Amino acid sequence: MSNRVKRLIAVLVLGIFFIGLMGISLGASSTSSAGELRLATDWPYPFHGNPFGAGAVGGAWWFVYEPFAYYIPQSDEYIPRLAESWKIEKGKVTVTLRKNAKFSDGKPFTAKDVINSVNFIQAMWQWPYEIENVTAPNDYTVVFTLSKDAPQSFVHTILTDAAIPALAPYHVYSKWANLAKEVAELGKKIFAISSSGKTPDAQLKSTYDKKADDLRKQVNAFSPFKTLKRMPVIGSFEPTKITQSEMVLTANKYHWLYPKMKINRITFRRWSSNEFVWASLISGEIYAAHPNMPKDVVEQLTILNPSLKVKTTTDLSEIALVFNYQKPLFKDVNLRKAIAYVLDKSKVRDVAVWQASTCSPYAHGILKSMESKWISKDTLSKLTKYATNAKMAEEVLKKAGYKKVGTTWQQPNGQPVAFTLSVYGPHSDWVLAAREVVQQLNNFGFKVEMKLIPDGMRDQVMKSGDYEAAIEFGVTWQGYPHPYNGYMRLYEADLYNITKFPSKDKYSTPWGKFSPYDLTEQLRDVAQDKKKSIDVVQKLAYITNEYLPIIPLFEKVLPIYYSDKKVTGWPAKDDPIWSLAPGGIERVYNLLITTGKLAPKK
Amino acid sequence: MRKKRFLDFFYDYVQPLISNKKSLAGSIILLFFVLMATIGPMIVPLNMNSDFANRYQRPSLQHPFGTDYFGVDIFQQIVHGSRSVISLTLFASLFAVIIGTVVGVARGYLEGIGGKLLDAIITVFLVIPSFPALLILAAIFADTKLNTVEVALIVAIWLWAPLAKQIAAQVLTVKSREFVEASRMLNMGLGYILFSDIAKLLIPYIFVNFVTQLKSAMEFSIGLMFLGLAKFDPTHWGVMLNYALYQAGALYTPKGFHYPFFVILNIVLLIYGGILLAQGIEEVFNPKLRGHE
Repeated sequence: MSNRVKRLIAVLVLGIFFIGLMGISLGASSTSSAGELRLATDWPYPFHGNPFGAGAVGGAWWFVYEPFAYYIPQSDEYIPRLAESWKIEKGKVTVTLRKNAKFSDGKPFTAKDVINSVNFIQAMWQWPYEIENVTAPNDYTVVFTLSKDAPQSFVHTILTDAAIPALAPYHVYSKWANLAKEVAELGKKIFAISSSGKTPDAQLKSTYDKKADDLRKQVNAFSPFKTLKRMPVIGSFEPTKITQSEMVLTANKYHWLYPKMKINRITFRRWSSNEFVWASLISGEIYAAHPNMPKDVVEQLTILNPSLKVKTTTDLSEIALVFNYQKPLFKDVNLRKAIAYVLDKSKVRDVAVWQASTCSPYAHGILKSMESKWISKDTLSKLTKYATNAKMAEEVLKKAGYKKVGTTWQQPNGQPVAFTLSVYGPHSDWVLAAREVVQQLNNFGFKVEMKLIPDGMRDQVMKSGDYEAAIEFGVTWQGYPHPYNGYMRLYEADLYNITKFPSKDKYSTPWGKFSPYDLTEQLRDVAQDKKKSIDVVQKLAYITNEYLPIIPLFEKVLPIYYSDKKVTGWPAKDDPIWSLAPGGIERVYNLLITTGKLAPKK
Repeated sequence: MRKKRFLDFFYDYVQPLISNKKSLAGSIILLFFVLMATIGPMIVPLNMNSDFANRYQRPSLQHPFGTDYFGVDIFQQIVHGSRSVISLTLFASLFAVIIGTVVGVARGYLEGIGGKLLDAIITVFLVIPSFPALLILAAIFADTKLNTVEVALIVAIWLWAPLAKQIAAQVLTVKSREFVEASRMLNMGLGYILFSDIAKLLIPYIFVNFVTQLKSAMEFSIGLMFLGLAKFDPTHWGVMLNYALYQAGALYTPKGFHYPFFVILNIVLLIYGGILLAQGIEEVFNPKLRGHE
């Protein structure tokens, strides 16, 4: 081959390479069209578009599904979405559906879709059995009959959970509608029998298992994206293009608020790591996100991308030090009190999540941001304040028979106060908090080691009780911002299941002896009555503070970073709309888009 | 007699290493780290109390490597962390090299079913994805408090196979040489042929591998800490680096540049010291590389 030919080939190769590069960059810039909001999230790939399939629809959830209403905690206001109105009676909720709501394929949304969705979620998820029955007096009215055990707070779930109205549109899932109804009915029957303390008939159980397995196998394998070549949704956006790294949602032109929408496309970048999101926010590749970010990174970010603003809102949850009550060491409340006095929670917060709110000096089980609404000054005056005080900790321990030998505290039985603090490795803020807690406790004279729980093993480790103390979510109010949620978690549900705190025992209070379990049940029954709720909360707050089932470290916040470089109309920092973010920040974006507030910058 | 032996050893092995620039530089670096790990913690006190207001202090006389995200002196942590880093990585590399050499030499020499069986074992360990395997091990040993040697053995399990494969290939080329034939004719035992005739020739090669394993051993030991298998040590250089890069985001702020820099500098120096020594040893003891002398 002559040199001339060789040169020609080299030039050709280089030319193709540069044309390719230009194509890639043009392709990338073409996605940055007007009327677009760029965010970061995660989604299953290959994308199936089936909410019952593995990974469901990922972060697209709040854009593709609508609840009957959004609830804004800060203003205590419901914003109607798929419901025009609703009526709450004893054991019954009647919802009037929006008549101009349509799926993204143009099919109207009716009561049939609601009934089908409830049947499907009960059949596939064995939840919510609190709904005994759903009937449709007409196409645009649904009546939910609740079981007698349903808590009052469940009405809130019906209204605000996006799974209930249109998760399984009848025209998409009609093939399995009868089977789903049958499985749901059988499931409710078995649940009712079990709840009454009886054992369900083996024949009934076996029929249920067979039918439920059959349904789950078929529905789990269904991919609307493959079969229908699209995913008909009731929400404001439909997923239209999904790759490993990018998910594009296109506006639903049949949405009743479509004429108001100025953003017609959502582009998600995959949230592969917090660092990726930091870099994407700095470069302007995404316009809004809510990653945890160290203080100095935030400072740098505002220098490099001045259009970025940050708003923090409570996450309606707190991070706490929790104990395993199956380990004898933690059965002594004096030790728990000493730990509460030793810990400098401000220091823990500084290193873990600097934007978080400092925890209340109390440990009453009410989020600090909600303290004034739920705990009276009189009750607060009765509670022990756990401000950092090493001397108080020493006093409490000495009184209880503990001794300091050399630099180490010993239990009354002569054993050192030694334990391991487990923390879930992938939660970097928890790891930082754990490191600080271990350091402070060791400085005081306890022997504490830190242990990381590997990725994906948190549930297994915590539920099996294979830990001594751990960093975990303490009380959380996400979903329904009411103290019942927090106390239920502590004394009956998630946290109780991992700590096994003796919540059915009776504890002394200024008002008599009560078990926190019974009080939580009482609170459940009066949840809709604020006055009665407050009365029960005082007793629960006292028990929680004085018997310390957990020690709160800080109230978590959701830092929301948003840029007005490409998109304008972000609400003011004190706008109550931000309080909709905990448990589903995409609801905020969706509400802002569908009300026409967010618009491309001209 | 003993003095003569010592002098022979000195002139045969030590002097050539001292006169080779690479091995001398490598030895000095490694000696520095060994001293750091052995007597360093006795001289330099460690204060791990966080001082968030004084985070990311630049290097100064008070803090030679500056302070980290927690406001803790980085130099103190490097010195105290060197003990676990060096002991764990050296043990893990050593175990990996021992297993890899024994299996590799045996595989290279043996023929028939024995050789095929060893080949299959090596291949199995080559193809097992190490991370899921470590996850399983984490679950198995979740309750066991493993010591440094036990952790090093677990790390070595995932490191020996590539070396065994390479050594097996080397042995295959060596085993038909005249001196091996001669040993066979003289009815010398298999052990003698394998480990006296053949393995000796591979020593420089094995040593180079030993050094290159250090980095992998360090990565694995960090992985084990994050899997909860090894005792969590906040001063381990890998854990420090993880805190710096992933949790404190030190690369995203100019203030924090020195935080990962000094950790990486020490890791690089340790590994570079090992590589220099290995290259020096190869130059000194490999006749082909000494051909120009």
